[in-house]
Amino acid sequence: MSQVLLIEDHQTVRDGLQLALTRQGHTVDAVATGEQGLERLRVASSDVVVLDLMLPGMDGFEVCRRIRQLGDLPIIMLTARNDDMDVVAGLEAGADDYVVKPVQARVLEARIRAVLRRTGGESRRSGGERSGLEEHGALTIDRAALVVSKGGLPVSLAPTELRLLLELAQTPGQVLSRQQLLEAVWEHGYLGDSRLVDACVQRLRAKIEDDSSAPVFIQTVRGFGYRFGPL
Amino acid sequence: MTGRRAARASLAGGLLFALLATGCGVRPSDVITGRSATSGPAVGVGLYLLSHGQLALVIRETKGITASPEQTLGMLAAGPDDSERSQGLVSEVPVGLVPATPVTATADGPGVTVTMTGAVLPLSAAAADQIICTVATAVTLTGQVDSFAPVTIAGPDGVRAPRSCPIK
Amino acid sequence: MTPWRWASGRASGLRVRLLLAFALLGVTTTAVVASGSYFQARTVILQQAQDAAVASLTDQLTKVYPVRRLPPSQEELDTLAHRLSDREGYAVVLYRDMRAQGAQLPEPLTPELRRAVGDGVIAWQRVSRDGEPVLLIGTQLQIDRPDGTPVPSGLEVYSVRSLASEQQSIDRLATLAWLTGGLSLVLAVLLALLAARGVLRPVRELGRAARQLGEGDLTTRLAVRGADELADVARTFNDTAGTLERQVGELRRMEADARRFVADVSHELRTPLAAMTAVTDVLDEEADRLPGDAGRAARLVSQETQTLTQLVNDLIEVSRFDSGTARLSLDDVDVAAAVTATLRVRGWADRVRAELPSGVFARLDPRRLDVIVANLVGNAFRHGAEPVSVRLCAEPDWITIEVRDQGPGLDPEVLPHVFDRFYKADTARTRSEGSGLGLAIAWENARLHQHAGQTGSLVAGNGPTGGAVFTLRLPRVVTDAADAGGVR
Repeated sequence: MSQVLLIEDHQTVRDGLQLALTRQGHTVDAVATGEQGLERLRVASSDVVVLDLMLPGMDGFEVCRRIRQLGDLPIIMLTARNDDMDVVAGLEAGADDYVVKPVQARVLEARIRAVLRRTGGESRRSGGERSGLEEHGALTIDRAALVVSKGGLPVSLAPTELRLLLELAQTPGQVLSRQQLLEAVWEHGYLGDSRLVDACVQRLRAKIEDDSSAPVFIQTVRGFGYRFGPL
Repeated sequence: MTGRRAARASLAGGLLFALLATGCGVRPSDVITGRSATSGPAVGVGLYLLSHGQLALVIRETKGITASPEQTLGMLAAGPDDSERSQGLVSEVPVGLVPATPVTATADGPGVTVTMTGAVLPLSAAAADQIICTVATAVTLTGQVDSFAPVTIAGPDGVRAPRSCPIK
Repeated sequence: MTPWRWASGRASGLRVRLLLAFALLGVTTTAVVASGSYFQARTVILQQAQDAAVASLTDQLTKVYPVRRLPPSQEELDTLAHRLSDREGYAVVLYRDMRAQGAQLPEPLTPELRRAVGDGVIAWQRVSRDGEPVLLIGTQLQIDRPDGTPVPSGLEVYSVRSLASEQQSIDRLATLAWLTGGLSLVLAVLLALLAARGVLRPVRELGRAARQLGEGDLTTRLAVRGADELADVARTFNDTAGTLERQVGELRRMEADARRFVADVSHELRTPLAAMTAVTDVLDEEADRLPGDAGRAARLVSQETQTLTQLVNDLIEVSRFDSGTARLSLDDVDVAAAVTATLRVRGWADRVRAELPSGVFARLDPRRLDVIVANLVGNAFRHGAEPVSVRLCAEPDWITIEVRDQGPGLDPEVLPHVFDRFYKADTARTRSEGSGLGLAIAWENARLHQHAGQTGSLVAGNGPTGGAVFTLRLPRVVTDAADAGGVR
């Protein structure tokens, strides 16, 4: 199964989640602070981080940014209910998904699986259906190797960003609504939070567009959703 | 409340207006009386004739000569002249009834006594008054008595009761 | 209020009353003063004119003496009349039946004047002759007897003088009086306006301040000027407003405290709940394996933990509405698809009769729409009777979603309280059926949708065939692309 790093300051919550996730077959490494979490990441590998945003000392956003700097490790935020500003700030800091506390173990587990599918072998399965290289102007997408390069230089994308790009690039010139993208990429039920899409698009644009305020590859269709190209 | 006050106000205003409107300009008045009538001296002889039965003063020019009471009575007895008669003046004093003696002070009382030549008792009251007033005026001129002194008229047939001139 | 009532109401207004009082006072004073001085002046003018005329006549008459002949001849009478006539008037001389007149005018003498003159005094009288005021002066000419007592000579002299010039002077006086009256009226009105402004400005300010206070601006205060009655009123007003502000502030603070307390409690409950929720799945799984009571207890704890979680979540949601921190996250939504999703996710798709015309797009918060629809449909299932129907209508500016059930409907007494928090229409209802906040949250969510002065609404009522009807109206903001964009 997968290796989960749980960063949560409340001991009872930490224990509860650790207990539940362990029963689901995950190996859970539970720490109380962001500093401890970052330290643990240095010494041991993890497949996914479950991160509480409200932490003593270094807060969740900063931890999120630090982890993003280290690599493409998927991050799921634990947030207070509908704390809109927190959600937006967390997504901007690089989180892949979020769940609202209190959360049932099976909901969190489903999210973990969804995030993991975007990385690793499970996503390679869907990418394998279309082998070979796709050329979109300066952008080259290798669906088999899950590598994206721009102008010959590789672009480092987080798993969710990569999945979003693959989803959009699959049907160039066609508009996809946020809800469609949420279902396809995040595997949310119909009523997911469209801000997930918006935040991810922003991050993706920052990485692949020359000028993210005048995007070429991922264009906004106001009032409906997003479209890849046309170039 | 308001209505009654308004009514009162308009009533007062109306009265005021009426007063101003009717009081404007010079209004006719009743007769206003002042001091007694203008009076002044006369030059000449004053006789009393009758006009419509009333005593009326007549002044005759004397060309500077002062007439005695007897002369004055003589003129009275001569009757009104033409111009006097033309104005309706008459005399009831019989022609020729003149003083027999000068006018003297009454022996047993105030006033003067004039003794006539003719009968005096039949004289009418008006004629007697003519004589009394004429004598009184003439005698006053001499300074013996005043105009309202009682005058006694005597004659051969008797003496009339003393009487003052009725003209005030 | 009818126009007449309005007019009479204004007519007795303070300004008008002040104006009338001042005007009346001014006019009355002026009228009294002006008419008083007018009459006084008129009397003086006439008296002076009369006295002068009498003096002039007697002065002229002294020249007649001494009398040399009596009775006079007609020529003498004529001469005398002529001599006594001048520009200002003419004389009439009478001697018994004889008569001489200085001008060819009709007989002006009045019998009462003749009588007075006959009594031996100088007499005069003002008469009106063809509208012209005329002064008649009459006297006998008497002869002094040697001892000074006068005797009537039978001569009577009358002087007839026009009073036209006096009339003119008096008319000028009257004109002047009217003018003074008019000016004083104008002055009085001006003064009244001035005074009315002085009095009315504070009154108007008071009225405005009271209105502001009534509209909820409790910080309204008046500037206190001077030490008169109006200043007292202003001070009282300020004191009252201050007390009111303090008390309302106190109440608001208490209410805010209460709400904050609820919010704080909810937040504090969240952490233990988060721990408990995390392990409810464990409990559920283990419950089947636990023997008897222990298994039932485990299921109970798990179930009620979820109920409690829902309640706390609802409380936090409500406190966010109360604190005004609830925000819309707008998206262009295919309303029919959104409602369908709501029903599908909760497993209601087969139980609800949905009339959802496709292609209705609106810009709204899809999560909040989900909350509203889920609450309304869930409520219909709990309290109404099936079939439950959901109907979507689109207007240019609004979308309307109607949720209807076939139950007994809402009691009229319940209707006003349907959206109250924790309001329970049916006291026998069990607690597990909902937090008691669902409809309140739905209502708040509807109200949160505002666009261009239009506010979303949620209304409860009863259908014509019975059954409760909840009608949600949200402002519809159609963006251009929503219609243009193709749906995959």
